[in-house]
Amino acid sequence: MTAPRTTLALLLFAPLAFFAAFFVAPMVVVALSSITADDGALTAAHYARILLDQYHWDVLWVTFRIALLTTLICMLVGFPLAWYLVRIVRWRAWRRACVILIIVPLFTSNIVRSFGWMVLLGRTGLVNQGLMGLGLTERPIRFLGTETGILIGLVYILVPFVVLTVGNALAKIDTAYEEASADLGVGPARTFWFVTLPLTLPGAVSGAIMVFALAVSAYVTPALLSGGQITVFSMLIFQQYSSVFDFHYGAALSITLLVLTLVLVTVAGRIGEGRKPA
Amino acid sequence: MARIHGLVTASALALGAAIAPASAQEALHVAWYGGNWGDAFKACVADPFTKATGVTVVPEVGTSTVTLAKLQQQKDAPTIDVAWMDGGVSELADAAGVLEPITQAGVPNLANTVPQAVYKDDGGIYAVGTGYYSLGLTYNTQEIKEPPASWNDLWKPEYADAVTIPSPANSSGVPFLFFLHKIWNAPAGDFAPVFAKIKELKPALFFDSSGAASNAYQSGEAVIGAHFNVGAFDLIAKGLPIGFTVPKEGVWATDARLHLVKNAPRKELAQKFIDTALTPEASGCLAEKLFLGPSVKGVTVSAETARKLPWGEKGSVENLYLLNWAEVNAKRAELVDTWNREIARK
Amino acid sequence: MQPLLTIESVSKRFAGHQALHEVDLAIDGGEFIALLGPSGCGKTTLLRCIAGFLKPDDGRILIEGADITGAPPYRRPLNTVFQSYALFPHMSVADNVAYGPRRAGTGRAEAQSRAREALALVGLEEMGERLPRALSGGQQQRVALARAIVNRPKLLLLDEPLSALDLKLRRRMQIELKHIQEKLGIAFIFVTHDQEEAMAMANRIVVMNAGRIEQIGTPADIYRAPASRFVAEFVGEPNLIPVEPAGPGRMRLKVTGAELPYAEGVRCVMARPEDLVLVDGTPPADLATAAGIVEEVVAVGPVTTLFVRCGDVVLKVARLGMSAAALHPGSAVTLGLRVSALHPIVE
Repeated sequence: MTAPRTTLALLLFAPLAFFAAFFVAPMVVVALSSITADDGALTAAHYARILLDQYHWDVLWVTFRIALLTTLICMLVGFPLAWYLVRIVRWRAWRRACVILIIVPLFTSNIVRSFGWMVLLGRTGLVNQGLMGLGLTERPIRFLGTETGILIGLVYILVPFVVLTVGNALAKIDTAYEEASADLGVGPARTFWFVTLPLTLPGAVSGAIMVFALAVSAYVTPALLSGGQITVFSMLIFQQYSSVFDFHYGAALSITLLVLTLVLVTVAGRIGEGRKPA
Repeated sequence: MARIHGLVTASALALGAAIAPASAQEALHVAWYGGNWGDAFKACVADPFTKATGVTVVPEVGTSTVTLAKLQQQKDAPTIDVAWMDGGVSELADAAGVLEPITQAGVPNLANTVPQAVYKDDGGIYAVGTGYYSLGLTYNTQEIKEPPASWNDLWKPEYADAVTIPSPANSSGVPFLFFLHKIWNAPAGDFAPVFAKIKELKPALFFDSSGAASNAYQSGEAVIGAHFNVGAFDLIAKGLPIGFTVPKEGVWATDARLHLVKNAPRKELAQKFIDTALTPEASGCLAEKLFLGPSVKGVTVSAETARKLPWGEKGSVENLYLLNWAEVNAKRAELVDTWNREIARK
Repeated sequence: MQPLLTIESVSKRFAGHQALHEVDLAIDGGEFIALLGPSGCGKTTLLRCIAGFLKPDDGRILIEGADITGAPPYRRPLNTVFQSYALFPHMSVADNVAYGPRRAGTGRAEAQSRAREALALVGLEEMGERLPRALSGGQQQRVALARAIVNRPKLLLLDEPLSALDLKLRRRMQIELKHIQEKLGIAFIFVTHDQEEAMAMANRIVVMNAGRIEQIGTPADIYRAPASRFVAEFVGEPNLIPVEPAGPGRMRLKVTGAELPYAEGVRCVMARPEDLVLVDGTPPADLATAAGIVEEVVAVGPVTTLFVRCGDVVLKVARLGMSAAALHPGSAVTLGLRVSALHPIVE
């Protein structure tokens, strides 16, 4: 009797220990580091330095604006894509092929994909060649070093998350609900708005939160595609750790971003909940 | 249940087996960088060392800053014996008190080392350079026929939107500001003129990583700018139309340095390892593989390699602008902050 | 007067399978029609064609003379109660019921009051604020009904609406549905595979098999005079007694030797178990008799069924109550049957 119980305890303990070691402990180290000075004394100076400086709020605004736009565009692109895969495609092999096409890029590194975009979006890149070839523009359009470039890179990387979460939600909706709506005299567009959309909302909100969190914290993509000419918050954090070596200030920057992101995500989650009557 | 129990046991055993060789007594633990740098250190220093002593070398791969963080964590009971770290981080490690002085008695080859590569403080020699690399002027030979003669060429209107220099996130970013400060004879301690001039620059990008710079030259996004000699000659070796030149103002350079860790568990072997790195053979090997400018006297390299060294074809260590890192580290936070506010926003 | 719903030779084919084969049907206003048949017979396909969720390959569907064959579901003047109820999980019960009127442009207050009225009709006026998942299966079923009748359609389609309920609740709902239908005067087309349910509720039963209509008739027609062996066997328990030719224009029952007028294509006649009686002593003159041995006795309370072997045929005999419990396997009995009650099965 004791042997299975020990095993059970071990099985319960192992994930807890894993969680503590790999999630809680580093977080605590960073949090402690953010409220101590070099000599180990407690201080709020790092936070004061961040929060009382308009510059940091400017960077935060840029960061959150890019993340919000990324989330919005990901939803606008991902929702129809998920709809197409779940509702339009009837041929199973083709659906499977599409899903693989969407998922496979997730297995390659962000760095590789961002470098790919640097080449595509460059002055002499394929995108500009195409635009000039079509006569849409005479001079190459500048994508690198602009928010547009960062948005393109982030949307490309994060859209699969929306397709997967929304697709999953869509696939779970019994088509009888839409039939019932049509049966009650309501056309397809309003059926989508009043029935399908609210039913996919929990999936869509979780997808959007995932995308937003990943976009706010993204480093590689903005760092490469900004060409060092736009600063997002993760780049400030990286600088402190990689070249200024002020780990306390870096930690305070990290915690600031984390807390603000959590606040926004919680608010968004509440909005998502609120749409469902209690 | 029994099946899961068995699995847990099996994974624990496998984990134990994986850890076991690392704790073997007779292996020297050396911290070095990843990628082709690590490969070259292994081929040029570790392998000859193992051949001579029969002691295997266990690499602890990480960038200089990661290595420093490890050393600080293991301060009381270090497992790393020898550590490679770049100039700049080297000074921080010294200040953090994690280094043991290197002595002539323990490392006889110190006598063969160029004086610039021996770093001393009050406590003695805390680091020794194993080779220099520089941030030179790199350009696209299809777009620019004549090698540019001056760093000021980056501001020429014809290169607008096609220039790249390092950002402060790169290890060369802040030092490069010091370098510009020096070549423009700006007033001591005043970087305002430097930032004013950089603001006028029309860049394609400020690169965070050496890879981003290589990518920009390769794709034609950048046609002129700064790049490490190692990165530039890698591109040239791939057959790309890239040139690397040391302009009349010279170039900023730094070096990869070896350090003896304080209370190293295998001090004798660690000293022997450093001694191996300072042989002409090792130094020449690093020059061939990484185009590192030798820090050991009397190293001869092939004419082909000589072209690729950090000081250019006809130069020497005298052409390099080597920084006082203490000065750089003191001003680092301030310069990064100013850069962020002045340059890295639109 | 033209029928409310006319179905003209409607055919529907799915990949390699003929689901409907030239089906014709006409339904008048206020009728309660049961579409009865085994699973896969095409009854649900026919219902979905009427609702507009499927488009027939051939034929026409008309409502009050207007062709709606190609009209989308949301342009058809009829409503549906779904097998799964399909109540919108994100809306309260009242909002579910008010959904139709609301989306059709009725004001909020007016739509809510109509929803209350419809909920009162099914006895759920107190439940409006709840979410569907907080209701029992029977209550959800009523909400689905309320939602479907709130617009007072002329025709209501019900797709096995009671199949998820337990037997007792099901019986109660059958009666309740019938009352509501009579009260509202809406024509119901009710799909079921349960022949008792169909008989209990419908004015007319449409028996379907393999994509075709086997018979259309009142419950009594279907039960007493099945048009085919399939109908006889699907509805109730038949005794199929073989017949053989017996001279010109006559045929003879193999079991009793009684003679009947011959009809084309008849190889057996049907007697329901309750048409057979046990005979003591001298039988009345209008009864044909046969001797048999009881093989099995199945008593289920109100009815006791005897399985009696007469030669090479086993006949089922139903008797009221459990009085036949005295009989046991091996008892010799005499069966009597009224020749006028026999129904010839045409094949």
